[in-house]
Amino acid sequence: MHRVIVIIGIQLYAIALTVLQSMGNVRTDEAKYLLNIPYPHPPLVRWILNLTEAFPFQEMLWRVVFATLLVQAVWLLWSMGKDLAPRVRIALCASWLLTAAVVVQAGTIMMAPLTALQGLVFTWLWMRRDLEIRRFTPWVALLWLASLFTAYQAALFAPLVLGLLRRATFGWFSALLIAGFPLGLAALYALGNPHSLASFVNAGTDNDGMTLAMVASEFAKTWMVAGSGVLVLAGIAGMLRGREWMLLGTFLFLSLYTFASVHLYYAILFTPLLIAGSVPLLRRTSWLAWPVALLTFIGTAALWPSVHPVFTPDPTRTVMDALNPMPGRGDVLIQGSFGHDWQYESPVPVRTFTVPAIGEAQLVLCRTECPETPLLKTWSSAKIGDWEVYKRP
Amino acid sequence: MLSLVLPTYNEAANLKAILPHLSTALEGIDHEIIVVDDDSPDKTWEVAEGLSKTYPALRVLRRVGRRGLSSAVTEGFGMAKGDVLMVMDSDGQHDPALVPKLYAAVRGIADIGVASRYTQGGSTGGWGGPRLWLSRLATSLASTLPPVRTTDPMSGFFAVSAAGYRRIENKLHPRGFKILLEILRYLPASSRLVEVPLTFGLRREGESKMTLKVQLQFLGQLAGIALQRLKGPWGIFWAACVILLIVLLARVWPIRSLYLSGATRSQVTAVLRDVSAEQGWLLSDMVIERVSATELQIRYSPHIRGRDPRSCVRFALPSADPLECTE
Repeated sequence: MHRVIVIIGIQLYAIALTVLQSMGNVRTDEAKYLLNIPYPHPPLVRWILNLTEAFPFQEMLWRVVFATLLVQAVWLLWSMGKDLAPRVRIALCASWLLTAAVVVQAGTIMMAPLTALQGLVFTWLWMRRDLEIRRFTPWVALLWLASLFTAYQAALFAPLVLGLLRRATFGWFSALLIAGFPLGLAALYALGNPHSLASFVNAGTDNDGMTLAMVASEFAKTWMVAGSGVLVLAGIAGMLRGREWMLLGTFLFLSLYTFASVHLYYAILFTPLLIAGSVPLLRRTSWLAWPVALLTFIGTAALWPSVHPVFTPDPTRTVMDALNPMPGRGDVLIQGSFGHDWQYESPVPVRTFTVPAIGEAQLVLCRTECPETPLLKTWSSAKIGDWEVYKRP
Repeated sequence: MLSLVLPTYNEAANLKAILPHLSTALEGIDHEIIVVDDDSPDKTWEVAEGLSKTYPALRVLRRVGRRGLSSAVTEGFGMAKGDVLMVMDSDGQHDPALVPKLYAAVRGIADIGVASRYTQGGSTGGWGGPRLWLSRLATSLASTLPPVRTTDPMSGFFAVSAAGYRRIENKLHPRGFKILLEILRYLPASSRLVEVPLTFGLRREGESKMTLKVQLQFLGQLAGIALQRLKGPWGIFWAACVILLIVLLARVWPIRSLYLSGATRSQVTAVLRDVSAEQGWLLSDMVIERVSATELQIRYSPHIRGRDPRSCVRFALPSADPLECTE
């Protein structure tokens, strides 16, 4: 009964985070997955999301599901801290629930939190040395395959997966075969989807135009969000004190990748490793548990205004709600660069503005002034926010 | 009592050399040695019958019209009287000194004992290069499949308790060389296995029986074990991998020109950019379906909530004028 109450309490927390998240509207990356747009990631999860595309409440449904998964994953942390005193375990779990990465990303419809959850399962198995790992290895292999077909970044947990297979007494050749075959399949999928390869190339140029100091600053911010500051220190200290070289190796591997292509949403990928890393530290210095949890909360409160999407909502939904219902048949043309969230909010296809396409459009949206063209002279125009809108008569 | 089976084919010279060493190793052990010969052209069976006068524990089975190492072993085990059944090669590659160790292991603590080249202290001897790598690859593939695991599932030098063997002998399908793999396939997962390090020696006389046919039989055997284990989660994993491999290869094959030819890649990139600039189509709404040196076929599917409209468009490279698809 006590556990049921805790589950319900944690679930209410997940719903609160979901509501906060939904106030920022659908973001371009989320729209990619909700609409099953075939890049940058493999199709497993976006295919599942796509099954509900016609639901009017698709966005909220999946925000609640994703938030629930991330928040209720705290039970894996509870299990990880099995040999800690109850109050220390509670503090460990509180740290997970309060860390900036979880608060900021719970309820987002992104692949990074899912990859982090998959990584958390691998980390949990790694830390639970009392479990008979051989029993779990086929499920590890299946989860590994599923995680690579959820998002390519799951490859960053390859060292942990290899470590688990080796611990289950698989020889090097067998372990590399079991871990490597799915990696090969993910690479083959990328070859069959040239957009994915193009997005890899683009990701490799993400840091272009940034100085080393700027990259380092963004990277440090990602670390800060991952552990709200204090957990970064506790996690790394714990990995070193507990000689958790596999966790540390995976952490460094992840750091190298993130440094090369720095994005704030990668922060959540570090969080399972940092939390697991803090367990050996708390075994030796249990009095640190509640101070770490408290400092995590303070760090999150300090970081939250600068990183939570609710503070930078896009105008997409406002503009499209003002335009709905759309008067006639035809596409929406948008001038300038725009995100996939416009495709999500529009009931008709969206294209980039070109003069030849005007013949097939019913609406033209321009962020600044629309280009001069006689084709739009007979159209009615209006201003919605910063947007200039032309409607076909 | 130990029943040691020596399967032979054209091993007359090797048999004469190994029997004295075996006799020394088996001193003090109640045993029988069963030579199972596949009607060798060099009359190994006749040599063995002659040697049985010197070695009273020696019995000979001459198989006429039947060939194959695995079936020779199972026939030998079938006529054995001992409570421990063992098999080894008679060509000098297996050390007779390991016979008492394997016997003691199976009598004492294990259901099956394997002389392994890949356990600590073991070695493949003079192997190198492709033969060593092929053996390691085959061993790795084979070691993940049976419920009872050993580092050398393809060893031809092993011992098994007669009681355990009799429980599974009717299920065995003895084909090719790898009878140990077949036995491991059917032994209960709870069977206790002991390994003894083996240093693989060089063949004294004669030539290897490892033909292409035998290697194909081995692959067939692996496939059979894999199918048997498809019931479990490992089967689901490997089945998913194989299905994905086939599906993904079918996706990549029609667009391979994109990767094989820089000129084609440049043309395709230019056409997609031109189409996007002309029609306003988003690149993410265009899926490349087929590419050749002269033609590009895409599926244009603008993403909206609900059913996405789809149309097939073809381009005669390097032109960006859209054409209808022929299919």
